[in-house]
Amino acid sequence: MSSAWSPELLVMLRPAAEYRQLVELSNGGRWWKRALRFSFLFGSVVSLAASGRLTLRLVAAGTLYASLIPLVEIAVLATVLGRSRKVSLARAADLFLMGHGAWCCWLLGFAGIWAFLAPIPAFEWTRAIWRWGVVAAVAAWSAYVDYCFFRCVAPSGPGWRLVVQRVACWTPAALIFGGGSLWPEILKVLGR
Amino acid sequence: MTAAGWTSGVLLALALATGTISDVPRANPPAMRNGYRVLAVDFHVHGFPSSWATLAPWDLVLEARRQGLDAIVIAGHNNVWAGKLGRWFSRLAGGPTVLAGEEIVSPRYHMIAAGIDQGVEWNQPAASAIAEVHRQGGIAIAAHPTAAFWPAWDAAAVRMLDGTEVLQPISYLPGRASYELQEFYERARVAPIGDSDYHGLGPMGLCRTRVLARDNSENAILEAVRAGRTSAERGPAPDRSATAAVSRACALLGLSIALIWKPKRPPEEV
Repeated sequence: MSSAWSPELLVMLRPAAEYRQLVELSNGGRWWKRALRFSFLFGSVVSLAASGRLTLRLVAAGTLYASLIPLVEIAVLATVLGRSRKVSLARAADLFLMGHGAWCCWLLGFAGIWAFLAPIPAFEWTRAIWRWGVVAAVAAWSAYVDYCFFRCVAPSGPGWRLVVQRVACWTPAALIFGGGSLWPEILKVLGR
Repeated sequence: MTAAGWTSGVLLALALATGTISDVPRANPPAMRNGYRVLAVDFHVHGFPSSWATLAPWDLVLEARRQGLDAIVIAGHNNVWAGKLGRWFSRLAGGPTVLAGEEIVSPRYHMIAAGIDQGVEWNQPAASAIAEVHRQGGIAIAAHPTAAFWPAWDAAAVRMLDGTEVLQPISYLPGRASYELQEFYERARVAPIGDSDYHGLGPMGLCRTRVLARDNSENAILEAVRAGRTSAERGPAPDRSATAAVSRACALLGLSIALIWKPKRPPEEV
């Protein structure tokens, strides 16, 4: 059935029902367009947070760096799904990227704070407790969305597929993004 | 394409056009005082990757110029290569002075090592890390030395410091950070430093250091800090021009529409 709402929004709000329907529509699969849109959103957030506007030099750079995220995700997805998927890999990648709605909303909220508030109030709003509290909620909902994806696309063992996908994607992301201080920060948390 | 797709596209194009047009460097005319050049310096800037930041070293150089900074220290978390890359690019592009540096992130203290070329190990006491920084001809600045970090700053380490951050974005947040930075400064009595601890959020140089240096070379800046010719200050107010406001409003609206409404009819529905 046709709807005016975007697939990202629908999948975010009712992941189980939407993925059940979407898996049946086996054509489509413009995964690279969806990956590009996600990277562009990320690049825009980088630009808004750094300069309070959308400027070509920051959007282009941010989009380029962020394009690593969907590329790594799709590479990991191909490995995690193997041959047990019910749809083509292109369609699976497209469906998986549709599940990024919660992260997109969080990114937009974050960009809105930095774009419209003065820097000090923006720092206050995004302080650690608030930020990590919201991030934890988004991460949990996103995990549920992806669990629904795996359940529909590769019904056997959706739980372990989700865990492997998270570990395989987030470990390199943490190393690339904050690798320099990761180990001392872990030691600090452990009280060593 | 749907009406939402067109609307979103037009808004984003407008946001990019107005944002790019208004993306001009701040006027930064050279100023002199007591025979010294007055330089605006941010000693604590982080780049992507590896330091929890979003902008690459070359983006940092362009952003520093836009914020009217005369010099920055690109201080990778426990690495110096990001600073060296930024310095190379800035020399190539005729940007502000870039000092290669490192934020030595240890579980017990954080320290900016500016003007070094080799990485300094983080798993050593503060005093021996400072000795290594000095051996390389650099300067050591205590980074956000709030009370939680004081146990690592013993008398020997404090005596060897060249500077300490007295003004940081955390100074403006609720809590005791501002008092604690001042208290540490009272104890150390070294060059006062203002830094933005820049990770890509908000304006670079939000807090900055006014340095009285012979010129804007790396050596002159290091020498000025050692001599204590610095003061910490808040940077200029962020650009609130109408074009920038149009850009961010159109951007947020365009991105929200693209996220909420279907931009295009999918092939299965055609």
